[in-house]
Amino acid sequence: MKKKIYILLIAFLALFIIGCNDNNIPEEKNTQEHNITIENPSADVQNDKDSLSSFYTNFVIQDKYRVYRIIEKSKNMDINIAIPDWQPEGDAVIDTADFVNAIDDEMSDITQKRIDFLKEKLRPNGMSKEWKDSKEIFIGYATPYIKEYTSDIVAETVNKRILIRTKSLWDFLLKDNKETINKYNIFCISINMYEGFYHSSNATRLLLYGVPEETFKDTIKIEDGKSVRESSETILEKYNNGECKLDILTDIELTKSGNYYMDFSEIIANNTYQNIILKIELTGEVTDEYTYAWEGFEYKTVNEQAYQDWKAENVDKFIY
Amino acid sequence: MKNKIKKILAVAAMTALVGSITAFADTYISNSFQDDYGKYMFEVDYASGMRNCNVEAWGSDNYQYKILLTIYYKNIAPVDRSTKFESEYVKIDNPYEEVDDYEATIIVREGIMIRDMVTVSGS
Repeated sequence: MKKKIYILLIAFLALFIIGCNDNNIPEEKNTQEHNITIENPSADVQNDKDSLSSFYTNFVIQDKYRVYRIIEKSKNMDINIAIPDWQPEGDAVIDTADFVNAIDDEMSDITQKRIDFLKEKLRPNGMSKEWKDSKEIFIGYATPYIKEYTSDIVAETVNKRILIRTKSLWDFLLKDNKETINKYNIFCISINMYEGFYHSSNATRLLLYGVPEETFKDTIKIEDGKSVRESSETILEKYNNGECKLDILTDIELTKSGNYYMDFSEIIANNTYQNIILKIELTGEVTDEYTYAWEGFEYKTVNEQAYQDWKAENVDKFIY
Repeated sequence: MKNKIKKILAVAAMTALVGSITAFADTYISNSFQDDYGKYMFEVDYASGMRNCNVEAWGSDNYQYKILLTIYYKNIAPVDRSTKFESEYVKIDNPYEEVDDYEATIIVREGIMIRDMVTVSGS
């Protein structure tokens, strides 16, 4: 009898120790590091943050381009990337430099500060200031390939240029072990097509799809015993094959760089959809030299009146 | 002496039982990066007033992954932790602490191109 009790107690202790090991030990697994650096480390200037150079000074201006020198010693890589030195007038918008700088371990911290700055700058009045009530969504960009400045390495990336992107705008997660959808009222997309530099007729085509309850349920699958949602690409592929139902909320072509807002408050109030999928596509003639940048920001409303007043003053910025 | 050992073992066993019941996944997010550039997982566990956080990203050794984790403590200013860009697999575990929330930005890079970047948070 005594022996059995000891065995039971030891088994409990073993279970406890296993449980602790699973959750408590800080661990950072190191695999092979890839150190890409950008020459001329940037000084994070604190004043006039609307200016891009308040965040990035690690470039030289040449022929109206901002030229970034990128080095990876282990691969003998030493290349330049040239981004048009152009920003639209008015509000600050996303820039290709925000993504080029993110490839450098040191610079990615400054990139995050610049993205945080944009998120605050573009926040409409009446939105929650709690950090967890807003978020940024990476959508996409293209690295320009300009022969005078770049190498075959950049040419390779240009070959993989992606002109269409899709994103789920609301989060699906397990909260307290229950399936939860984290919905955001307002979505702002920041677009930079450098039209004042290129004088081209490129445009950004933007589509929004509403995902009804029935389709949403079909997109949930079990992985490792936990519910996960299918990717937006998979859902749109099924929709294009006639395998599921989605509602197109808007289909619009944007020809100017800027910050555009979409308001899902009514959809949330009526519980019409369980997810919103964004599809965005660059149209027109897209040469290797061309660059563009897209980034999204989401917010939740806390002061409806303050938001409605702000919306009335900025109604021209709303596309949905 | 034997009785003392028995008592200690009994208390330890009860602690183990209670601990295993109160600890559960507070927030769990698992998704794929855009265009099959790998996967990421974000998990916050709660136990006895404290929270830990486990963030992982993985995929091909052709891609490099990086995690930036912001820890929002109950009584002190937020603290940032991050990894370097690492190929195939990257992970941060933060132990149980008196934390309100965690926020992670996970980046996937292919050579000189950022392929996807996601921000997730949980408490």
